[in-house]
Amino acid sequence: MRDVAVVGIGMNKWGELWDKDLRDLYVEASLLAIEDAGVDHIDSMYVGCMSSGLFNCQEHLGSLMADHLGLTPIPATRIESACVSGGIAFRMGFMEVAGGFSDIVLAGGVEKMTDVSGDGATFALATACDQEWEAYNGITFPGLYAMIARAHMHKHGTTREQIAMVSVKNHKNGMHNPNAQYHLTPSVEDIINSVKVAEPLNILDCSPITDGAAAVILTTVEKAKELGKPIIRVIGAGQASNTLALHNRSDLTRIQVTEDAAKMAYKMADKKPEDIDFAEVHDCFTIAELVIMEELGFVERGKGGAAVEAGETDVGGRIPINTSGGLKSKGHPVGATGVAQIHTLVEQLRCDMGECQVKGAKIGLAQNMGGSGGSATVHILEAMS
Amino acid sequence: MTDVGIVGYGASIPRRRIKVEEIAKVWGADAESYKKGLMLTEKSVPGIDQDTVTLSVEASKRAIKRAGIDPVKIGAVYIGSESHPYAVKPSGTIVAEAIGAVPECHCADFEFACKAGSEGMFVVYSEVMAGTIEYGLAIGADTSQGAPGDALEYSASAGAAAFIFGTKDICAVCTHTYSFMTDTPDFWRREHQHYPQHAGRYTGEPAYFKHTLGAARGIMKLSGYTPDDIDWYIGHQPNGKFPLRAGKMLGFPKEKLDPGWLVPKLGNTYSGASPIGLTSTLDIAQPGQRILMVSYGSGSGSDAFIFEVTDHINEIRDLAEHTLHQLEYKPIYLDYGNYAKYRRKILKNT
Amino acid sequence: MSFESVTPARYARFMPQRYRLEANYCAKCDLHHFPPRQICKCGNKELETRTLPDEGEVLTYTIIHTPGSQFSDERPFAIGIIELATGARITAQIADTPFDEIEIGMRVKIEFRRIQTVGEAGVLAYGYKVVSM
Repeated sequence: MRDVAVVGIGMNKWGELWDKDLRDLYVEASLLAIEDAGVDHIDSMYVGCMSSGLFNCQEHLGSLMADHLGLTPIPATRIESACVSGGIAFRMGFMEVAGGFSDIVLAGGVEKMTDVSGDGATFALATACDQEWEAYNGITFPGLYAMIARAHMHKHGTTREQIAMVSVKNHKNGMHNPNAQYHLTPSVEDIINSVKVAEPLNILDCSPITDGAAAVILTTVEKAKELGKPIIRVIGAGQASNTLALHNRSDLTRIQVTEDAAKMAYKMADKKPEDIDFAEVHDCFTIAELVIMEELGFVERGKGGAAVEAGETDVGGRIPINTSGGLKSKGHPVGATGVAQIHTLVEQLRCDMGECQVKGAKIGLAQNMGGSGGSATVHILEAMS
Repeated sequence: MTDVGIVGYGASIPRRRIKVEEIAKVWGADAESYKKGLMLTEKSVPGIDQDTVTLSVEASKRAIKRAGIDPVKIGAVYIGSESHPYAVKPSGTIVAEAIGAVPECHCADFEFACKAGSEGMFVVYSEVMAGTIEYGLAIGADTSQGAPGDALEYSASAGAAAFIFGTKDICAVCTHTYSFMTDTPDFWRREHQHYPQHAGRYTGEPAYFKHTLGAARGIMKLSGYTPDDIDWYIGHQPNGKFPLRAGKMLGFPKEKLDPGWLVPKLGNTYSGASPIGLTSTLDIAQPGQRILMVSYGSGSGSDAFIFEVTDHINEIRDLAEHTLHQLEYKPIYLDYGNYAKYRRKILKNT
Repeated sequence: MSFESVTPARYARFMPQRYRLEANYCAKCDLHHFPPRQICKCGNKELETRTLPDEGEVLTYTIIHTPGSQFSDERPFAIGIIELATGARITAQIADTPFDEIEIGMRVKIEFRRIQTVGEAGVLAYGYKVVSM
């Protein structure tokens, strides 16, 4: 297996981008990544996207994007695994370079979500849960995570305030991210008093509907050295699956798929949770971040709420989480999210994060997740000196 | 001749209610005069997720529990209703599928205004009697609507009753049946109309009373029974007053009506009305007692049945929720706005 | 939205489960599968058909305020995860129950209800909800 590095990153300003089309978003981010890497060609491409069919009536994205990037006839493949489509696109790119099939791979993600009504977006996103046995009966994604929150509060005594503190922290970090969709600083009270979505979760506990894209360029460490870029090496890659329906999981306070993907990544990287300097995790809903911290081994099971309350996950804390603002502030164009997390990891490891720079950051972890925890990826990146 | 009768029975009443005052307030009407005139204070309202089919399934499940039979042995499923959820597509197949009576089963939906429920009872009784089926399920169910502001809006309610007829482990033997029909245009609904129309006071003497009394007197003559021989009387109950008056005219003291006289809190469940009254009477009837049930459907006609309660009633009545318990269990009161939404009376873009 | 959440064939093929709670059972694992599976996680393919009990316990729940458009007339509504038998859990609406009475551990029973109504002219989709006992 060859050593693989990320040599280029690209991301546009996320939000409700009324004048931009699905392909505009993807091409824009990809061109930024290609320019950042300074490569003169791409050998292969993976496009992560969850639901362009329902959002934009457009499938067949691999070739569409290759065409508009002027990259035909390279192999171009669309990857779908709900909200972890981007994470898996990155993993596929990593494996293709590591396996020696291609030298330079573009891994991107995109979602253009505002071309349908709010109801339409709810419908499209709900196709990531079990359509016949969950969605048919009226559950929504906020509802699934609300049920995890209720179970977590019941079993571990996690408080409503602790859950809200995730949103406070991520919005605070997002203030320094120019690409973030929302630049707001809600208080715990604002969050607890915001519009009810699925009790106990409110609108300010939920990631928004977002248009956006992100792209990165993967190549061999050898080639990265030739390009004269800082070497950010992919040292761990894990992916796991679990039951699509939340109700089929034995412990409703957990998101087991994250632990399974993390174990694989830690093992490959030969690292432990204590070795990680900072992480970007999939805070699609506030409660998710608390549970993910536990699954990644950053805190004991049931102690996620207390750790956030104690400031352990703040930028200056023991294990800073979501220094980009997370999905909550940055936005959550579902297919793009996993790739944007890698974007942030690279920025941190290049010491380009400004106000949110984690001092001395050498090893970062990105955790991306699909559905209510039916699929996940965990990647560990290290800055080589 | 082999005895044929009820081997299992059950009712289903939605938990939502609206009070007469709440309806009267909206239409500027005097609630007290409606309460006095109709002798009812509130009526049941189906949830947005309840209809004739769902109420029929729940009532049938209770009947099956009491009968203690394997539903595949049910050879016929008949639903009488004037509010079948589909204009074209049977309700009976949905119920038969839900209770597990398919595929060797005869199904039909009956329609005869408020008499549709007893129609099914009549037919399954005859089929079991003829030996063509082992068990038959007959259901009377409705989620009826009166036109907004009309007198009917104060009474039109929702509920279902289901009866399984058979020859083994009978809880009430059907000893006599009798029907009385004429063509009487007292109440109707034309195709594509949302709500029925009625002929005002013409619905009383020449319609309800003529047929109800005709059927009751006919079956008593046929059986040779007098009101003294009959322990319980259940008449169709479009409002509180009519069945009381009919009972009195027939010579039944009010105590003989009480267990089946649910209209003051239930409203008029149309095809479910006298059948639900029969379920709540069976809930309290003692072995050896006789029950007279007389349905009425506009158009017009009445079916009459005399049942003789057996010892078996004591073994099965507590196997499912009693009807009165359902009527009284934690009602959820609606305001008119929610009632109008639930009954889909508010126009929306589609 | 031009996409149909319920189409007749898709709806009808699950009637044994939605109407009658038909599951299957792995005797080796003492585990019910709902909906029925072709193979248990243990590898056993000899699974016996079983009907689930119509009573169970609420494991967790939420009150949905922003549902999909098919459910917008019903909002807000309660929905939860209910355990009916070993391994057999369902996600189902908790109907007719005041929200402040719902709690984890509450006993509920199955009722047959209308779940979705497709437009003004589409198929009526029935299934299970639960109510407090």
